Amino acid sequence: MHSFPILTNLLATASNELNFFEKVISIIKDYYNNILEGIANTLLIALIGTVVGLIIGVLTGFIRTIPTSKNKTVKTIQKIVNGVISVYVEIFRGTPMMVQAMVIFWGYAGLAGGSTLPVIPAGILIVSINTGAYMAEIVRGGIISIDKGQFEGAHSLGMNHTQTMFNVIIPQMFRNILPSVSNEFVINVKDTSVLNVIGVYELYKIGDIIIKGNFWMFETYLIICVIYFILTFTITRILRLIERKLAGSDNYVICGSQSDPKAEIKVRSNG
Amino acid sequence: MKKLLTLLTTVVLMLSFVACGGRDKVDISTAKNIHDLKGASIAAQSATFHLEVLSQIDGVKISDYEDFPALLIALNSGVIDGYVAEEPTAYAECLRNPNLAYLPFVNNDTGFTAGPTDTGIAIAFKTGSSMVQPVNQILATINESTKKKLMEQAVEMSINKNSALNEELALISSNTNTSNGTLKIAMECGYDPFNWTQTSNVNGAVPIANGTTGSTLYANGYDVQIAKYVAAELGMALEIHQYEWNSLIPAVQMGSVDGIIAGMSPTAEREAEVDFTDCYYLSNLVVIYKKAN
Repeated sequence: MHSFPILTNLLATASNELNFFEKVISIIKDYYNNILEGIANTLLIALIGTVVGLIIGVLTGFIRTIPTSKNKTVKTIQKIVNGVISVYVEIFRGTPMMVQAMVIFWGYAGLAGGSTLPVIPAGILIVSINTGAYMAEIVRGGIISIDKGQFEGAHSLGMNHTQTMFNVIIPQMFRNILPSVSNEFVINVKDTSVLNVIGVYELYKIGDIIIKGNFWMFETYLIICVIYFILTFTITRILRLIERKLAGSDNYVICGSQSDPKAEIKVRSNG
Repeated sequence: MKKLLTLLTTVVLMLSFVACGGRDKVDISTAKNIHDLKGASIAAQSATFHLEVLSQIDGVKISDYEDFPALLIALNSGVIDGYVAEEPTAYAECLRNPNLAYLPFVNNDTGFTAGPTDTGIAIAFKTGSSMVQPVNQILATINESTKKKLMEQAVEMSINKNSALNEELALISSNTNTSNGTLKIAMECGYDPFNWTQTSNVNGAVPIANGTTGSTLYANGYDVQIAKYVAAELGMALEIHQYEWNSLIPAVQMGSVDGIIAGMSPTAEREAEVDFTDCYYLSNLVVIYKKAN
C-alpha cells in the first residue's frame, strides 16, 4: 500500500491530448491489420453461417412437407422427426444467440475436460444452428406461398416427393424467400458481434481489444460502427442485384413472386 | 392543427430534457476522510468489493456501473461526483486525464475499512493445485520496495504504452532455463496499470497467445511482469491468454489455463471456486473526482 510520487514529466505529455481526427488516424494506423482480420472473420462467420443455416432450413422444410405415410411405423418415425425439428426451431429461435454461444462453448469445454473448441469454427457452428432455426420457418413460409396446384400437378405427372420438391417447389420457393434470406444474412453480419463473449475476433471484439489499449471509447466504436454500416450496405445492394436477376425479364412476372417489389399479376401489354 | 401538435410535443420533450438535466453536484475535492462524502453521488463497479465499501459511508448516494470506462464516462458527464478505484488505477487515470484527481484516503484510517483479502491481489490456481506452494515461495522473495518501484513503472508505461522506459524494469528474473514446460496465465489485458494490451513488444511485453492473427498484440503491466517473473523462477515458459473477466475463473476450473494473474482479490466467494496464493500487491481504495473548472 503506497502513495505515488507526482510524475510531472508524464503530466506534461498527458495534457497534450490528441484531437478527434488524430485519434481516428492513430487507431487505424496501429490496428489496421487487426481491423482487417475482424472484418474477414465477421464476413466469414456470417456467410458460412447463413449458407449452412439455409441448407438446414431447406432440409427441415423438405422433411416437414413429406406426406404422412400410411405405414404405421413410418408414420411414428415421421411424427418423432417432426417433433424434434419443432423443438429445435422453438429452442434456438426462443433463446438469445449470446446465451447459446456461452452454453455451447463452455458446455463443450466442460465435457471435453478443459479443451475448448477453436473459436472461429465454434462461432460458425453457433451462427449456423441459430440461423437454421429461423430459416426453417422462412422456408416453411416459402413452401406455403407456392400454389397447391403445383404439388398436385407434379404428383399427377408421376413425380415423387423428392422430385416435386427439388424440381418444382424449391426453385420457386427460393426466389420467394430470397429477400428474407438476404435479411437474415445482414442480421448475421451484425449479430456475429455477440460472439465476442466466447472470444471470437470479430469486428466488435477487435474494437473491444483496441479500447483495452487506448480507452478511446467513442473514436474506436465510431470506426467499428462505420465499418459495419459499409459492410451491411454493400451486402444489401449486392443481394438486391441478385434478386433483380432472379426476378427475370420485365416482360413477364412469375405468379406469386415476392422478390420484385413491383410484383403483381400483370397482363402482358403486347398480348 | 397537426403542425401545432408537433410543435407542442417538441416543446414538451425539450422541457422534459431540461428538467432531467439539473442535478445538484457536490464538490468533494476538500474531503479529508470518507465521511466527508456525505450527500455526494459516488459510484463503483458492479459486483465488486468497491461497491460494498460504499455502504460504510452514511448518507452517500450509491450507484453502480458495469466497468471502468462506463464509470469514467459517468464522471466526466457529471452524472456522479466520484467513483471508488484502487490507487494505482486512479493514479494512472488522473495522469491520463488532467481534469481528474483523486482523494488519497488510507484504508482503515481516513478511508474504507478493508482487509488484505479485499484490497490485496493474488494469483489464482485450480482448487487443489500443487502450484500454490512453490509460487508463494517465489512471491515471498519479492520485497516491498521492488513491488512499489514496479507499480510506479507500470503506471508510467501505461501512459505511453508503446514507448520504451528509460530504465530497466524493477523485477527481472535471472533464470533463463524453461525446461519445466509452459505456464498458461489468463488475464483481461484491459485493466491499467495491472494488465493492458499494446501493439509493440517494448518494455518486456508478452505476446497474447490466443490473440488475433491479423498482427500480434502484446500484454504488459504489473501483472504481466509478475507472471514473467514467476514463470521464469519456476523454470517455465510463459503464455498469456486473454479472457473476459467473467470467464477467468471458468477457464482455470476447466483447465484451459493454469492460473489467473489479473488484479484479482482473493475474496471468500472466489476462494470457494479456486485456490489463491499470497497477495502480490496491496492496494489502497481511493475516490476519483472531477476537478472544478
